[in-house]
Amino acid sequence: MANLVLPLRVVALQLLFLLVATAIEAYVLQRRLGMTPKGSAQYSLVLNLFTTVAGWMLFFTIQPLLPPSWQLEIFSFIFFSRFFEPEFIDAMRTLGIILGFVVFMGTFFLKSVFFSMMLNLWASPNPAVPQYDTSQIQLNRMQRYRQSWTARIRSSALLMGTAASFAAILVMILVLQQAG
Amino acid sequence: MMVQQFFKSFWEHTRPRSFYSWQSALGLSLLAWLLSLLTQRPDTVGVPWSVHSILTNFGWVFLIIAMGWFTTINPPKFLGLSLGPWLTGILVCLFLFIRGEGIVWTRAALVSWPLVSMAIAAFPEFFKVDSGFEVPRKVPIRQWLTTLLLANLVLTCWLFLGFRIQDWLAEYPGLKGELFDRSAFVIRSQPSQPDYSRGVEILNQMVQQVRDNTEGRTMDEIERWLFEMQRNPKLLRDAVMARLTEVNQGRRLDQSFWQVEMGIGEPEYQLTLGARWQGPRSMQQGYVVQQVCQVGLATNNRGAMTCDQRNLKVLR
Repeated sequence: MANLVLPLRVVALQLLFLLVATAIEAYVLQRRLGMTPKGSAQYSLVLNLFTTVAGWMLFFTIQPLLPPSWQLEIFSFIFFSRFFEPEFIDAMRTLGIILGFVVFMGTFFLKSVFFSMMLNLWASPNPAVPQYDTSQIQLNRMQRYRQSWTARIRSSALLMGTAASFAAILVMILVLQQAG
Repeated sequence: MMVQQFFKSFWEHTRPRSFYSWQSALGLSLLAWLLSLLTQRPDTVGVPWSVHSILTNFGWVFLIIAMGWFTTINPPKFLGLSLGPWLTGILVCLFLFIRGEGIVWTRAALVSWPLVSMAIAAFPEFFKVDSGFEVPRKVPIRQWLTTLLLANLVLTCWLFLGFRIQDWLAEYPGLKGELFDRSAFVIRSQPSQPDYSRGVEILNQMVQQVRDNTEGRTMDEIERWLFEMQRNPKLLRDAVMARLTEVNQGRRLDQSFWQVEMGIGEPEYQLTLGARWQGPRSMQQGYVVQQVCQVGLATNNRGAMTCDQRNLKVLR
């Protein structure tokens, strides 16, 4: 029987995180946007799955391109939960905070884009939109959307949802670190 | 009597009730395979179509059809979702990527399995009997398809990660000797049995190097060599690594992360040869694979070396 090294732990952790994040974000979307429980769960699930896939794909493309010293740190972190070079441990203190912020903003951005895409893709077919005379329109549709209050409420709901789920994941990581 | 009962119920279940059923598809598959046994596998690889290959392909196709049919009628459910497409998907991937003897593209088969299963699961939504191919319009179906696609992409990512990790371990074989108990990502299928093959390989080259410099030499030469190696350990390391590169056909892999150690002790001269892993590791001092060798004088007053091959020690 081959002695294989399998990523089962990260799969289990990711399932746990997905579950918690989806539940929390579904609740936030439901409260703030007035969606049905089923609808908010659906949207939240799809959003989190999308960011998970995007994250992994980013990792798979970037990792081979990194300089070898960074790759060693990645291996050390993945296999042993520690870092390899002592200089990197110090750099990690500042890098960690910046990285956390970048990941948060990146996730929020991806979710916003995907959310509006889904709203369009899943919209029920509209009745015919009345055509306005172009001379009467001062702003194009995108600008009007951005200025509309629906867009702002959606963005703030997504932001709150992402922040809440990140906080929950952080708490879980800390708890698991203490326990493990 | 029990065996008879079992076979009777098995036959009742699998015999074709009518012509248009999964049982007949299964029967056709079996027939195709039995017939293929009678034909010969072609000796020359260049022959594109032979009776044998046509029959085996038909066998596979009918087996896939039978499985798909069967799981549509009796779907194995998990949390309200039929797992049928994923089972059929396994067969399709095996058919496409793994042929008979020898495993050709295991990686491609496993990594494509989720997406193939998704195609099978989504297929009914795209083809309606009367209107042919059309993109579904209803919102719930679109939501379901999107969720299906993304969930299977996540599965694909996980499988891809598994293979990427195997690649890393192949590139840095010293890692295989470590324990992964503190990892948040991976786990070994046999947790307390690391793989020291790389360390052993380096140790063997070391033994060879020492042997070359001690066997058949005078005691004077041996002592001079040992002294030189103690004074300048880099010499030994360079020599061993040069041998290693040669043995590995020019590939260096994780050589730069290995240290060689030679301890000289009594009785004259007992050498403790060690290869220490200094790459990414779980403890600050890496694990070391050690072997004890005895260098002495043979009857002709020349050096002779014996090594305790069976007593390989690993210290952490």
